[in-house]
Amino acid sequence: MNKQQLNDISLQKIWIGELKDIDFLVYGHEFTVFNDVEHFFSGFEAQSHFPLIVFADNIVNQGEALKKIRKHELLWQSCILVNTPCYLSEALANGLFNKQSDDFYNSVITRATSLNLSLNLVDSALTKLLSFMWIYKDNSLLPVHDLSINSVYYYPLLECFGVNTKDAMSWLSSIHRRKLLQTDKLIDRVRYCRHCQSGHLNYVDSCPSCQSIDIASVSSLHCFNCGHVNGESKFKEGIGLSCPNCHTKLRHIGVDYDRPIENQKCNQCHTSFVDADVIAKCFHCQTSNQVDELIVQNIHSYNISMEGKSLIRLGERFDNFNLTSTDSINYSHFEWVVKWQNQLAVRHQQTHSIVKIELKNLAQFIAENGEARAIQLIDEFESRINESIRTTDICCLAGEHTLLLMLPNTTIEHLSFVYQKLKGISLLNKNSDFSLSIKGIPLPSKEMPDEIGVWLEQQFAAQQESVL
Amino acid sequence: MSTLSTLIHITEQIMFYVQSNVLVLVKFIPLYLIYELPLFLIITFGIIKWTKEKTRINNTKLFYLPKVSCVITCYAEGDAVKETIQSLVEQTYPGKIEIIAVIDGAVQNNHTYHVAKECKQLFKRKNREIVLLPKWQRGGRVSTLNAGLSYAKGEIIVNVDADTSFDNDMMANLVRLFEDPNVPAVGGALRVRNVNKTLWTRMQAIEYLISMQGGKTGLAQCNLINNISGAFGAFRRDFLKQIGGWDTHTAEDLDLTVRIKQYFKRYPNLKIPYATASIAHTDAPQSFKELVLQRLRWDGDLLFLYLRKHWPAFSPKLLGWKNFLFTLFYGYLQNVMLPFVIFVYFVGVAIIYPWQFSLALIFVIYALYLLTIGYFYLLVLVSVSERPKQDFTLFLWLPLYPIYAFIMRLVCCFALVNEVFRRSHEESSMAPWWVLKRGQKF
Repeated sequence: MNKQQLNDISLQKIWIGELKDIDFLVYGHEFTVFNDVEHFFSGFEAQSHFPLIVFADNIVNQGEALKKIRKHELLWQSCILVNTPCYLSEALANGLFNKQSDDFYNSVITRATSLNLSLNLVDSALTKLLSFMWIYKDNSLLPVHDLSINSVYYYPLLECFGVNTKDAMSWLSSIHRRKLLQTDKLIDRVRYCRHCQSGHLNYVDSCPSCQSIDIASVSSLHCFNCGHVNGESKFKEGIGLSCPNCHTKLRHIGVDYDRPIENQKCNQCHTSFVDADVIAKCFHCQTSNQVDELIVQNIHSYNISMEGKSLIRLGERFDNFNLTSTDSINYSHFEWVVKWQNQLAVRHQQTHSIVKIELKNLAQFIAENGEARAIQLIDEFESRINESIRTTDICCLAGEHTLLLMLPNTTIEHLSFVYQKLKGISLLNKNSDFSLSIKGIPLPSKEMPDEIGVWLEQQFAAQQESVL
Repeated sequence: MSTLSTLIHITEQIMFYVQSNVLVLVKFIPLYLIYELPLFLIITFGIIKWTKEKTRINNTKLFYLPKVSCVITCYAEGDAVKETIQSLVEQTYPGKIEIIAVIDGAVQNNHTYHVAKECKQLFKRKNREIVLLPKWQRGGRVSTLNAGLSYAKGEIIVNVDADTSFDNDMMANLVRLFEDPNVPAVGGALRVRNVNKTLWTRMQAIEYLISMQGGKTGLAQCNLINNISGAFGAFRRDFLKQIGGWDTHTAEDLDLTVRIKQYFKRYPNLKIPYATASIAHTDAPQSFKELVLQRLRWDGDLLFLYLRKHWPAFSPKLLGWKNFLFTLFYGYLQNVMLPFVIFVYFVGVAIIYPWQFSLALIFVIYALYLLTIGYFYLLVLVSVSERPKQDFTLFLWLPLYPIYAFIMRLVCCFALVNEVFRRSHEESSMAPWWVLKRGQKF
């Protein structure tokens, strides 16, 4: 895609607030300027889904404006840069406006177009989140501290993408369980009320018997002279201590007296106890929680994981079905293997091949025979392939109906033998209507970028397919 | 048997001479009269004054409750630290007490450090805070005290030894004395904790009782305290910081007292009271050897301090006439000259007169001295002692005390000679050699 095309499709630069005179803002005229946020929302016309929106200094309610843009159905993935950071800018904006902003914006556009996500298909918060985090690869999902809400921490970006603040934690943990996000930093650990999930708790020591907080410590003294034991207050006389029983002056601990009992007493139920219970009383619902029964929540910042990246790039796979047989590896692992093998091949002058096998007209097959049958078929297909390839070959399910094979020490010329084998499998399924499309690319490549998935896609797109 | 009857006979003869001949009396007792009588009177009247004062104080309530910092100088005391800290935590004083355990050379003295650490866990009480200040590198007593001073947040600093424990009303009684803004420092009362261990500790118990509880109580009423003990003293923090805290060299306690007293002429209202009712209990040396070593240090350091370090400042212009004269007689002369006078006198009598006569003479001097001691002992027992029953048990040991005092005078002679010729203050065990080496020479 050349620069011209890029401009046509996507570039749109918006400046909100007073356009200031900055030396590196050479192309100031490229910006469409709006005086304030209100003006922007009433006046703008979306030409691009990825506009660059720059907030000038001193925007009133910048945080709210950021939220509004991220919530907008067309503008949610805009590249937003600010001049003055606010409490939400780290979580919602993409950084500060500076000299490198132009390059940054261009790289964002490149990534966004290569993601090739049709916007009208993006309805789920998950897709929004993953694509956002894929496009803005340096952005983390950050929690923000807010005392006005019960949970104390919330994720502004999730809220904008439509995840209810109340459900955000459980939603995030389920996404994390699916390994689509990985934790970045542990920001804090919060304890919540069992009853109302509020983080606003008051820890008080209380009577273990009646839970009353009206407790006081009581200390008893033991007079060595007569053996009398009584509360400390009974021994007080002037500035010193004196036994209420034998009137001996108690001067020195360990010589005249000691402290046999030191404990606490409840003024309500008069129970004596050694250790007071600590209870966590909720400021919202008044529930008294035992401290060890509180809900403990670690508050993390999150990054997109390899799985998340491959999911957003390759689409929803049969995650619900158990397709990961022991012989095949997952896509992110495959990417890693490709990278590694490429480096090995460059160094040791080896030649490998990667073969992409695509099941054509699978959609039609599913429509006719049902999903269950389709999965069965793919399973069978995958296991047959595993049987027919060498043990040193690596197989990976990439996307809904695509298999990738890594064939070490196989030149592209040798691939015809592989094609023959695969044809055998294809013939076995003669009675079915679907066919296989096969493409092969050679390794090593000296210009392999970090984003292996994108590179693979580009390479295969340039190859001619042979249909079996 | 005939020797004894001769002895009795000669004694009777001497008694007869004493009774009938005033000249002989003048010949043998002038030193005693000139010397002991003023002291005798000052102390007696001082104690009477104090008794009145005590009644007045006990009838008023304590409203001045500043935060107090106790700096405990710990070295190798080990488990004894626990008792010190606990007795400070136990104080009935209603104000805040910050207990700072400064451990000098906490690497070598790891056990002491751990005991102090354990105390921090063990003793938790309202208004009591235990702070550990380990000094990993050994730096000596002075550096330990000044480290504590630099950390202390309290208005009043109490310096205590780690082998000393306290009565629970110590702090309440001590703080009382600081109510008077003219009081920059207070000397604390020391008692012997291990009284019944040996003969020597019993003798020291009598010594402490008479010279501290009796002597200092009386002298302090005339503002004549000669030393605020390094084992237990209290200072107003701002004043202490103003005069630069403790100074290097040995005998830092006497040094500090002398330096405070140098302000007496310029600030005539300043006074250093003695906290008779603030009792500290400390372990006295148990064997004769330990005792001699302690006295060699004390008496040698005293000479070093009076005659070397503070000699230029020894003037009525700084001290005021009262304190100048008192220090001259009962600081310099009593501690520096008297031991030699006694020694020479004793040797002289033994050489000049026949031994029977010498012995009889010594017996009379002994009797005279015992009488004085007995008087002070009874005075203290009746009017000062807060544990009269316990102190009464020492009564039987009193006859041995004049002999003990005489031996201590001889030790003092030796200590003074040792300091004059060998500069013994420079080999103090209170600080490591690399610190002593750098101290200013006097």
